[in-house]
Amino acid sequence: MALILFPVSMFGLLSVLRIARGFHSRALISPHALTKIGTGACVIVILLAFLGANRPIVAAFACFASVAALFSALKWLERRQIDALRAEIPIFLDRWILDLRLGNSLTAARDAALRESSDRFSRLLRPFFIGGPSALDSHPIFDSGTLNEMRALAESAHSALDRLKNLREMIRKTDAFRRKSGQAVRQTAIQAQVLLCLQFALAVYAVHRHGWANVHDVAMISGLLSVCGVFLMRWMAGRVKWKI
Amino acid sequence: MEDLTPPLLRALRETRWHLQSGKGVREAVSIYLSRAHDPFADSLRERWIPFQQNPDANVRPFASPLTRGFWDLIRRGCAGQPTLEALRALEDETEAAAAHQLDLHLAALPFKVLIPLLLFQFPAYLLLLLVPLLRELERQMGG
Repeated sequence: MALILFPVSMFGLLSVLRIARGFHSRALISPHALTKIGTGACVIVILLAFLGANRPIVAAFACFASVAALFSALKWLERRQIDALRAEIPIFLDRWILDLRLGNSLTAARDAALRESSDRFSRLLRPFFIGGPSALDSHPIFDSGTLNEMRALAESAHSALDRLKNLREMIRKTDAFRRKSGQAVRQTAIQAQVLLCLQFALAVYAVHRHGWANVHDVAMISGLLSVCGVFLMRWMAGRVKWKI
Repeated sequence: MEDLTPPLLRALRETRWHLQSGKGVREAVSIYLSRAHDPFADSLRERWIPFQQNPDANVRPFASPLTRGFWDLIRRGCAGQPTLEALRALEDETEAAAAHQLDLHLAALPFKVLIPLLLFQFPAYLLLLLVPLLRELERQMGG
């Protein structure tokens, strides 16, 4: 039993550590939250390995599923953080432009705007600006256009105010359109989630009522059909054939 | 959040942005084409390369009036005419057209979503509800 328990738990723990390290290096999720989530995942993995020691395949599958769930949860958290930080960019640009118009130099205005931004935002952006153009190769919260403009501003301060205003207008317009287009996918995503929940509840009922041995094939086929339907729904919502 | 921005709008915004940053039309279009990888950028590249070699060369016209307008502005800009204001106006028009098309897409979506619902979700529910019952019935009749 120990021969199974040991590799399953080791695989799980190492995967959790590796995933947590990857997210820690990107510095988008706070180390405090990451420690809590990682510790929780380690406890779950050890528990699963112990509880499933008599059924190694189930234990390995549960361990893999919990690691995958951890990765998805952290990815979702990171995505939320990125969205929240991206929403701060226009406000940061407003402050930068305001300080520039008040007569400060480009870097002084930028530093003042950074000081007034949230801790996380300024912590992420400070090394990016201080490192010079070499540090401007990529950034998790800037898209390529914004990044290029920041690079251009770092290289030459010529007509910086106009360029910043232009960047702010571009970001606002792009965000407005993205919000509108996001409606389509969001509505369908909610519908799809409700349908999957109903399907899951129905499957649980069927297994409870008739037993796993009698309905396992039906449950699997039905689950597969349902997942295909959900993917098709999302694909249809996110696909617009532009006629412009 | 999903981004469904039409490629033409992206091209217009990027070109205008580069123009406002002090670059010329030729440079702005080249930068856009070096970064963009979508069907619209491919079709623009297809016309841009022969146009750069010979500005008088006949290139295949675009099908949509908005895209044709964009190509026209590129030609005018390369010939030294001012294009920034016209580009901004074209961007507004394209935005309005895209917003209208997006509204149509949103209005038609509930009906389109019925297709996967009928083809996949409904049979999935029926399978889970009926097959175990039928099996039980068969077992009872057989037993």
